[in-house]
Amino acid sequence: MSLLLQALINGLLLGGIYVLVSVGLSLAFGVMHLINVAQGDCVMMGAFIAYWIYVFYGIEPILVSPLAFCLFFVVGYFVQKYLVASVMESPALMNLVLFFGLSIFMANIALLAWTPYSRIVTTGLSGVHFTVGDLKIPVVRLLTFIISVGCTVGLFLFLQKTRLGLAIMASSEMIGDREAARLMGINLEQIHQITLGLGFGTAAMAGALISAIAAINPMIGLIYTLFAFFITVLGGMGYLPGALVGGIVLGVAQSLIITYYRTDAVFFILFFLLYVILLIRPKGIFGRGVI
Amino acid sequence: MTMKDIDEPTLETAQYRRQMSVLGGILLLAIISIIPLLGVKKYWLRVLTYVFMWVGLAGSWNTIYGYFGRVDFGHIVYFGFGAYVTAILILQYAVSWSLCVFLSGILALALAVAVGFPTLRLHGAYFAIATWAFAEAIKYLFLVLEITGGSYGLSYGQMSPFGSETLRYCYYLMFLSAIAMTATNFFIERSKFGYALKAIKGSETAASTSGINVSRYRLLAFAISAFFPGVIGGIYGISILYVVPTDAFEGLKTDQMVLMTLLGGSGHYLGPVIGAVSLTLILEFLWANVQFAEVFYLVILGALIVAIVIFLPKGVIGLYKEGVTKEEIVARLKAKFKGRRR
Repeated sequence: MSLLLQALINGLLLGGIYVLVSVGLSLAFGVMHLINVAQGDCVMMGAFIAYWIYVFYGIEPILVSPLAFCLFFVVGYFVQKYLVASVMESPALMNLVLFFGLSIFMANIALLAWTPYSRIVTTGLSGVHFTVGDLKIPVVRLLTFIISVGCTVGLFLFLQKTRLGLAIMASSEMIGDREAARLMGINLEQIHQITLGLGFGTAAMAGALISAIAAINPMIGLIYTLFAFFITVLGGMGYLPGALVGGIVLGVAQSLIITYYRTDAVFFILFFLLYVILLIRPKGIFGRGVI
Repeated sequence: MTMKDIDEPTLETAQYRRQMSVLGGILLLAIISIIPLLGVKKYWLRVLTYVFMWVGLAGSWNTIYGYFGRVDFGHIVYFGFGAYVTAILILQYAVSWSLCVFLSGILALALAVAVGFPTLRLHGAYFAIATWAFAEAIKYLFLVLEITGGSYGLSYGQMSPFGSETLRYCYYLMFLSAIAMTATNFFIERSKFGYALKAIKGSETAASTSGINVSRYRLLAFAISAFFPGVIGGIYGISILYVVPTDAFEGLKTDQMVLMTLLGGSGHYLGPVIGAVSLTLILEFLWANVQFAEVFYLVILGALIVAIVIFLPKGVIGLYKEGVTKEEIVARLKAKFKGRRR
């Protein structure tokens, strides 16, 4: 019983971070119909930024995560402005291929900079944990969970309560109407730049948090892209609250498979489930996604 | 005869040019087919074998993307599947190689029908993600299965069907597959079937209202595009003498098919040929001459995809078809950069 509870707790704490990994993907899809297949590579870059700052200045990755957000907000802003904007009107799916190129580019720049070996950040916080009954709760994991879920909720509030957030929602293809938004005086180009900035930024921030709890190497990008897709498809593409549920489900599922089945089967099961969910419920479990 | 007469393209000159290009093509194919008999270095035979392989693979991606506009991010699954079918049949059942290679194609085609039937109902990005997820799932499945040798894969060892002649046989087999794939695209482009696919690419609803059986046609196109990767995968396994999941189902191979097709120009039978030949030779050159090439070339690959999507969305063939001159290209580039500064 305590093994099951421990597995559930581990999964829950892990899933919190996955939420932040995927929320940007869902946002970019909902607003611009962009499929950012480089999402996982932004996560990886964020992780390595945190790793570097830890190595050179000894600062905790958790404290670096806002910096990773700002840095990649700027990257996303300019990627949209100079690269994606020029293919927004091109034949469908050209932007998909573009992000695909970006993903290969980022992964291999990282391979040049940091070599293929896995690295682990071990700080003073790493081993610390407290116990509730016979359950062990590591402090770092709890902190990353709180920050990640907090930021996601903050993003929801930003989108619902501020003028800029409402402008983003209004120009989203799902809830709003692009043309109507333009007629209301919303600068669509700028909104798109901010949206992709948010997408890249949240991914990099999630990466910085991940570097505090897991081993990182330049090839983890693909795995986190898979996770992001799995979560967004499960929750419904473009439906942000779905990401919250999807992330937790993924974290718990991963933890259960590792605890009770076998570690090497995780990716087969996840990829296969992703395929099956796409086939039978492309709108996600809540049926609220966009097609 | 005045100057004007010479400049005007007449029916005869057009016909003459077509005859000359056919003649040139046949001559080129003849030269390529006697290369192995001339005692060329083994290295070059191997490079050319890879060129043919990529011509075939990129061509198969073109069949789906170029003619009916679907982005398949998991096309490598048919290649890897073919490689395993051939390896298992030869190693465990001692079937003759020609039958194995053919069966690889047929089974890859059957797999494509089974996969395509549910998957082709998805559109756009959903189709792309689904095919990618399926290919990766199969890769991870083969990593844990018993019959495929798990992560160690299968090795031909002494069972290689061609022995010391492996290189030469594989050269011709790949060459034939590349020609067959390109010819298939050539005929699709000119057939009623090809026009139906283009109509489906434009709009599935419009196509089905004009009497095209959309689901049957797209399944057929998908199946055709999986046959040659299956065959090529089988030959590839024989040529490198082993098959492992991380190599046979490598996502990077799909990436290269995409890049080659886009670079050469999709929707034209020669597009993938141009893309595959130029890119394979460039990469081979980088590989042989530049330090850290194995990493640098992937960085360049990524940057190239981005650049092509932005500056050359119709590929090299697109430039040729539109008859664009050098001045126009420069003017276009300038316009792009000016547009960006806005």
